[in-house]
Amino acid sequence: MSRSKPTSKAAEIEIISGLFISAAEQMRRTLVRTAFNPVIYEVLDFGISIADAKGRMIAEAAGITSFIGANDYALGKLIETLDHDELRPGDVIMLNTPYWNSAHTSDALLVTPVFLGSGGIDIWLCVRAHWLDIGAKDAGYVLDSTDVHQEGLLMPGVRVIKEGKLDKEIWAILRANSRLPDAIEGDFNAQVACLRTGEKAVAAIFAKFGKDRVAAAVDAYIDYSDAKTREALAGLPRGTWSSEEWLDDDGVTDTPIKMVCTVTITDDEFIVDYTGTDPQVAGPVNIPIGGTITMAKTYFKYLTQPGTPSNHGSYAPLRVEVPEGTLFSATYPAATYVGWSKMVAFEMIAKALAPVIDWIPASSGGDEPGFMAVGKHYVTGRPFVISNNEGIGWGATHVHDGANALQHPSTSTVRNTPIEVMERQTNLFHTRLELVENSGGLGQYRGGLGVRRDVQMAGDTEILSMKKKCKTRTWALHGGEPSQLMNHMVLWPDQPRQLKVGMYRKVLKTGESFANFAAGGSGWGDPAKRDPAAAAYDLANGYVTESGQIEPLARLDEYSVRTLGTENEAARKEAAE
Amino acid sequence: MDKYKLSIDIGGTFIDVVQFDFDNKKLSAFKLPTTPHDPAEGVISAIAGLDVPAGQVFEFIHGTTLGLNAILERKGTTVGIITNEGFRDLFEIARGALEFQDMYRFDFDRPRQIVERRNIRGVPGRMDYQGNEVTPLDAGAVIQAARELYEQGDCKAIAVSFLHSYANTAHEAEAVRLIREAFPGCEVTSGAQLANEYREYERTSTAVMDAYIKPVLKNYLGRVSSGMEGEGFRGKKYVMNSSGGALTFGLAEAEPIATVLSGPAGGVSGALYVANATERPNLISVDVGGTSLDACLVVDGKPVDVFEARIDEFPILQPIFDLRTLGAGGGSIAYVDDTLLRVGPQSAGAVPGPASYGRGGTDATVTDAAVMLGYIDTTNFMGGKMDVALDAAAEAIRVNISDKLGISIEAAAQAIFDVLISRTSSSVKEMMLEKGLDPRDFAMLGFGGCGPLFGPMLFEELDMAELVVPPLPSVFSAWGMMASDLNFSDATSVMEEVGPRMIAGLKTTAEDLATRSTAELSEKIGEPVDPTVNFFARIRFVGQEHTLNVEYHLDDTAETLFQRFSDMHADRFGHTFANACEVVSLMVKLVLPTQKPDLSSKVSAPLEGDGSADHRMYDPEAAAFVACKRYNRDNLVSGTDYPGPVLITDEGSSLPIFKGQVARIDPYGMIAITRQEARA
Repeated sequence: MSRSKPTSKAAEIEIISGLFISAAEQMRRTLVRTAFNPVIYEVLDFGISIADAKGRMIAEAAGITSFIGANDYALGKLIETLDHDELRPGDVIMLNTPYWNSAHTSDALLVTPVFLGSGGIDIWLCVRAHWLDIGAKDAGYVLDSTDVHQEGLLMPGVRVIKEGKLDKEIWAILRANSRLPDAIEGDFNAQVACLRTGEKAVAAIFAKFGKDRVAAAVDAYIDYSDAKTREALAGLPRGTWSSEEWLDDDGVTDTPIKMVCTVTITDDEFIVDYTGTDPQVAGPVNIPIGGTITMAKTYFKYLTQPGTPSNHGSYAPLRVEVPEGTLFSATYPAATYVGWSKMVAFEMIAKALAPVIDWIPASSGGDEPGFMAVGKHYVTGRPFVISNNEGIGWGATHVHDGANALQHPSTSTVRNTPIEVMERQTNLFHTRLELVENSGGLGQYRGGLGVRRDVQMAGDTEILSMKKKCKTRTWALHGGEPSQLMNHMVLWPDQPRQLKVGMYRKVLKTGESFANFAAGGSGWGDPAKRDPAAAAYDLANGYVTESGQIEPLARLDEYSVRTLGTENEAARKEAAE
Repeated sequence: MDKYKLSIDIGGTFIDVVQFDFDNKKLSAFKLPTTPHDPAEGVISAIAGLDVPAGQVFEFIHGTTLGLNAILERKGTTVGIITNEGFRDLFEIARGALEFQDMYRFDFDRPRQIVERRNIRGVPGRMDYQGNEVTPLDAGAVIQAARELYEQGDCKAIAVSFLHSYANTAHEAEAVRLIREAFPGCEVTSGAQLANEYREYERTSTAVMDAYIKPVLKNYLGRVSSGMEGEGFRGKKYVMNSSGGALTFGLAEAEPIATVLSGPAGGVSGALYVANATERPNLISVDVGGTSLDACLVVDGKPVDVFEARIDEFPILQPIFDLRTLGAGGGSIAYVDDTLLRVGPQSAGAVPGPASYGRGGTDATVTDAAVMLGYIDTTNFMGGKMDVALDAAAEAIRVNISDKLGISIEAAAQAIFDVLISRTSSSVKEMMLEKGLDPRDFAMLGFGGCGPLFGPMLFEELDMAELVVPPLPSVFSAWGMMASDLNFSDATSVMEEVGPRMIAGLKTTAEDLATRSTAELSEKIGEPVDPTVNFFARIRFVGQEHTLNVEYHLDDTAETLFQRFSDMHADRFGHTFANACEVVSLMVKLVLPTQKPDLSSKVSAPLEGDGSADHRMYDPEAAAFVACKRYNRDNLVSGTDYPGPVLITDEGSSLPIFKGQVARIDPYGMIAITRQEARA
């Protein structure tokens, strides 16, 4: 490759930053193409980033929406604690300890230091991806752990590859601790291929421009994003506002968990403070501080620069305050497997600011109401683990209706799983997939509609219903109404023993069914002011019907939902008998 | 008699007409303005404007963006959907995700549904994943649904799409038959007939889009047909399909979705021909116009097909060239964003166009930068049809760029190219890397109005060995249509692990598929055919989602097929596995070759002498203007080296060759540009 010709400084910043963004994109394409597990290539459960020697993020390629900047905290901790003299070119470090890695144990973070001739580390490359099994107490997902050691093998930031050579002994330990050793090996290889692609790409940038020109352009690019972010911040109101939410429970006791969010905007800071939130709990809904920061970054991104790539400068004005030992800053040995609390808390920033920022939408359906299924295929006998993320209604804004049936905003790029894939690979025979009429919260602008999905078991199957906001209602704006429909699942909908559940695990026998309900979004403004043409369109298309009521099975009395993991132990015993 | 072949490509601004005279091996081309109010009128007037009798044209190939535009502009017909009972919202629920560019827009406004919910009916009937009937199809319900949608409602076309129809098409086929019989005036289309693949939403979307554009395309092709016959045309008529083959008008009317990316496919078809005819098996075609750049790969002389394209939010499951479009073209606007210089993706378009067009444009565009740097021949601007507004170009760059950055106009103009070329080459690199390919193993074919302008900078940035510029680069897409073969493909879902027992079944499946589709093809074009038959299997390791498209031979064993797949996997991804692999689907490609024009045909008579003129061009290395020569392409002498700096022009484009690069006419009549260091 030829060395770069001189060009203007403005062009050089754009060129070099563009090359780093492209390097991250090349890493992403390599990972998606080579990954073995659908949670990576379909659910996009990964995050890729490139940072400079100081750990400042230069470019990233996010998979899941809320994985923006997700590697920053972990990388900071590694830079702080690793012995830099020990590190060599070609090393790959693995970290999944939640309190540093900012996520649950299944998210394996691989980091590689890149040496480009300065004698030290010039660049850090990071890729996190969800592994199918790392030896937690249950296959698939853990809903009722009370201690991190029930959540799988911990890798505290150790070199799995040393100078390009895999440490076979460490790898043997990893394989021995997984129920699906081939799958994690495939994904590990894909992550390593992703890092190697990144190494090549950044080496080419340094070769072309030289270390000093790269450093100057990176500084200027981060300053540029910082300035742009502050420009957007200047457009937001000044002051302090709070919101409060409730999480159903922690999965092992039935006590609702209180969450408080206070947002303060000053001339040069955007402070998100979760003080007032309950202390960390026994069940697995605790969030490590890094995860809380990431969530705040995601909503801050929407408020400031939703259309541009991120780097370190994009979050410069953001500060997150959380007292240690609380739900949003969990400490060892707190269980952290179920990150749903983050999703519920995600819109608390919106809830705090909506009264003063007119373009913030009303509440979505609340959290991601998906499900997982584990079992053996009724025809082939092949074991399966599958997940499906269900679309919910989004909140209306001051200028338009909320979208029907989209993924929760914090996972907006994740696609649902095709019925034909589920029926081929699992025992989930579908009998219905429809919007729930009248489930959009009324308003001058209507909330989006939720979804009903009915599935009958073609063979015995363990079902994991995943939702954490079923007991309290969502919120509307300016006289609009929240949706009548809340996230939940109904087991045996056609039988007298019908059971409505939130976060729950249950083996269903052949022929038994569930109906999964995904909530609608909330409305904006007085329903009486709705444009008659829009109302007529809704009626003609059955989004709204004359009765205005959601179907009876979809109604949820707030005391009727079962969400306790402890019940599941009994249920599993019953299934085993 | 019968000695001319004609192709017509309708783009955004111009109708490109290319005609080849087989007797005299003479190529000619002209452009007409488009007739947006009635595209058929433009085609008919192009025929009327030929300098030969229309009766002597034996083949006509057409590229149209009509179907695509109908979707983009939401100008298709009113469509109804008939699907399984309980699943009427399957198309609206879709995959529930936002595109990456919208991922942080938490106030996203979902566009209004292209099929209104009131026009969707579920009917009893259900297959399982193996194609076993779980519930029989309720014929009465199908007819009742069609009656409500078509006879009593406002639907003009119905898309039928049932779960697992890829595994067993019986219910869909029966529903289509029932509707056609009861309501002959209703257009009907079905999912599995167009895309015999799993994934219900994507298949339904394909059927809906097909239904949506069917009446539009049928009407258009009918008008073109009768208009051409009115001009005395008696030859065969074809439309380009999205995978670079030609379809008869009849086939295109039956499955219009196959033509949806007909426009850019001509260029790719031409690139494929060039790759094989000039022995450059690894080629990336780069077609650059005013607003966008289309890049497409030819690997080992074969196109890289994909099986899913996206138009707006709608997936289309059709064999399609893996064509990537970037927002970079001659009209791309440069601007200073705080401390950064950005270029595109916004474009000045045709109106007002770049400042140098003198039509009131004040933005600084890539074309304006090229004009200032001598990369475009200003003495014959836009083929002599336009005077260049040099002052306006200089002013646009000064106001928008130079003054803001405190640099000279020339430095600003060159900086625009630096940013443009870096960004474009990154995108091309990403596209290749996704397939595990290395740009250094490829030659670049540059065409379109601005392909020759971008090419010399771009191929060097990508470290490619060679840039190739074909004759008539600005109308190469139309030329490429002439190089397309009549092509027809069909696929069947397989979903089986590769093993000794399945391989025997696969052979039977392949033979049946070939026989069936050959019969179908011959029925559709109304005469017996003897096509070349190729098979491709889409294979993946069990547990993977992404497939590779692997050639399948009838004499394959489980081992040879696995090996071919495994080798390709290793080649693309750097690693492979010993695990079991599975065939997802089998595709047959039938090809009937057509007569093609010679590559080396000259376009115009060479000028007197060597045809050179003095020129001044900016040298980015020296950051100064240098004196050089300018040549008309047809004056270049085969076998002679033309070292840069030099500017080569033809009627529609300019090719600036820089210091360190050298151009020569190769034995096939292509201009081949290489780097001198690389040849030493």
